Amino acid sequence: MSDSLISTLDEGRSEPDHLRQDLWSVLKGMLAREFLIALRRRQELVNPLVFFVIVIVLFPLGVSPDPGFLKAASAGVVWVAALLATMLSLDRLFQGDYEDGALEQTVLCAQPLYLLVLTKNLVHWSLTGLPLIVLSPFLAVMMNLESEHIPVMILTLVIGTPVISLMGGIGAALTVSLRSGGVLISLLVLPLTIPVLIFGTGTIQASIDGLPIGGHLAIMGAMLALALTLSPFATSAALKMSVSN
Amino acid sequence: MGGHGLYVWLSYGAGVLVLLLSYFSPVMRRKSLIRELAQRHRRDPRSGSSNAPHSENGDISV
Amino acid sequence: MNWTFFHKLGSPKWFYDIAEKFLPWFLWFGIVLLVTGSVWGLAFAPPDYQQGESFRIIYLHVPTAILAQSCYMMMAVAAVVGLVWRMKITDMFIAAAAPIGAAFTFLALFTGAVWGKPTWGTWWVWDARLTAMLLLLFLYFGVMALRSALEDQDLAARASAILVLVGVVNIPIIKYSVEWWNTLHQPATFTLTEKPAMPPEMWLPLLVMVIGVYCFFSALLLMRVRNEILMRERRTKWVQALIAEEMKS
Repeated sequence: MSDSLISTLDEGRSEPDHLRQDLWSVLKGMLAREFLIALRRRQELVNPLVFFVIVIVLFPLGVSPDPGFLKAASAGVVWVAALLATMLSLDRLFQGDYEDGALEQTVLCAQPLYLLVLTKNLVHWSLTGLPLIVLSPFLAVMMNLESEHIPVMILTLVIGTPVISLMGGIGAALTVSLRSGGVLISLLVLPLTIPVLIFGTGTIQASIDGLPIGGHLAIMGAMLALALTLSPFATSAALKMSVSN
Repeated sequence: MGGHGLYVWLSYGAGVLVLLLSYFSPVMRRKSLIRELAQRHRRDPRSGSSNAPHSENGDISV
Repeated sequence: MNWTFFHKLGSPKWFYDIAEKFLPWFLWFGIVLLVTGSVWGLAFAPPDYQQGESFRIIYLHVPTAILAQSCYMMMAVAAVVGLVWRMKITDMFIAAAAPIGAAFTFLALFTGAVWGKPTWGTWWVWDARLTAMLLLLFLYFGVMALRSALEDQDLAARASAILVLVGVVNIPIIKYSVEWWNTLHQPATFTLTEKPAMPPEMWLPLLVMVIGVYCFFSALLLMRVRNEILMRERRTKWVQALIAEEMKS
């Protein structure tokens, strides 16, 4: 496994005229590798999704099955559950690579770490956030959210879950050298994701209230843009630090 | 104090408590630190004493 | 520009000596101002027309809230300086400041809650400012948790610097989003551009308390940084001499 990674990353070290093409092949290679590894451990992919469902189910069971309450709480509960499920999956974002030395190779690669980190985040989101988004309509129905608002909910999750993954990446990178960074990651990252939570649920609420959602979505888009551009810097810096010890 | 006295005193009480605690915490830490460092030095006068400190893992709890 | 000061700042011993010199001043000024401000606010300032005596909590609540935020800003500056110029002292600042900041944030929240009960009828309300303060408390806890989890001091220093900076970027976002989300808290007492809405008899003791709290905070910070220096520089001759001196007395 390390061999294929090294040869993938080695492709980046060559003459400048081919640099752009090699960057692309390095990223493609990394994407392929990440997906391959993840799909070999299918159970690990499913766990956060099951957790997502279980958390949502806890609310009608633990609080109240009253349809009125569920409808009012649906947006928030789905969002909080998505947040928690993503936190659960962050542990394995960099841990596996750290343990077998692949992370060091990634950090030392000639290609910009920024892009490699973004690639990892992309894979993580497509394996965690995206399935959550696919599941969410079913759970929203269980939570009595009216079907006309479900597209809005999906839209907020589409914009919001990448932000959670990106911020989570920072937390995962800071704690990668620890044996059990799980709860610590959540402690570090959750406060930072609260703005996304507020606007995500706020958008759905606005839709329920019949108010325009354009402004809310714009702000969420801004958060996504900010997270996309800035978080890889923090994640890269944190990875470099964690690896050099 | 118009019935709100309890609240005022509760706040200021908490304030005094927090400020006292935050004052005494470093004071006591300093005492125990000096005592501990003196003990260590007695037990093992370091041959490597220099102006370049080393960072050791889990040497002294913070 | 005179860079000597900057270089001196990098020397723990130099800072220790400076801290020794300034500490008593900050401490005593702080205590005097705090006591003066409290007595003034509790006994001599007029009660509020609407809120009555509970208004006096402002003399504790507002200064601690202001400090809770300033402390984090200071940590952020230290984080930048530490990452760019690699000065050990900045990490000591962050390590020392985090618990103090957390304590003041907690105090601000507590006094705010106690003030809220008679004025708003409830201990807690999910209002913009309270929630943002609560999140600030979480950010402080995060820094403390990260530092204590990472054993290697070097890594802990750089990692907490990154975490502080990520948090600082988030603070305006948190403030804006939470403010948009809910507003019950009254607007700021002091703004940079307008005169305060209170008469001087009311805001003068407040000013005294704010300055007092800053002085006291500086004293606490210096005390903690001194301890950090002693611990990290324990192998140096000057520390060992100092300890020998202390043990004699």
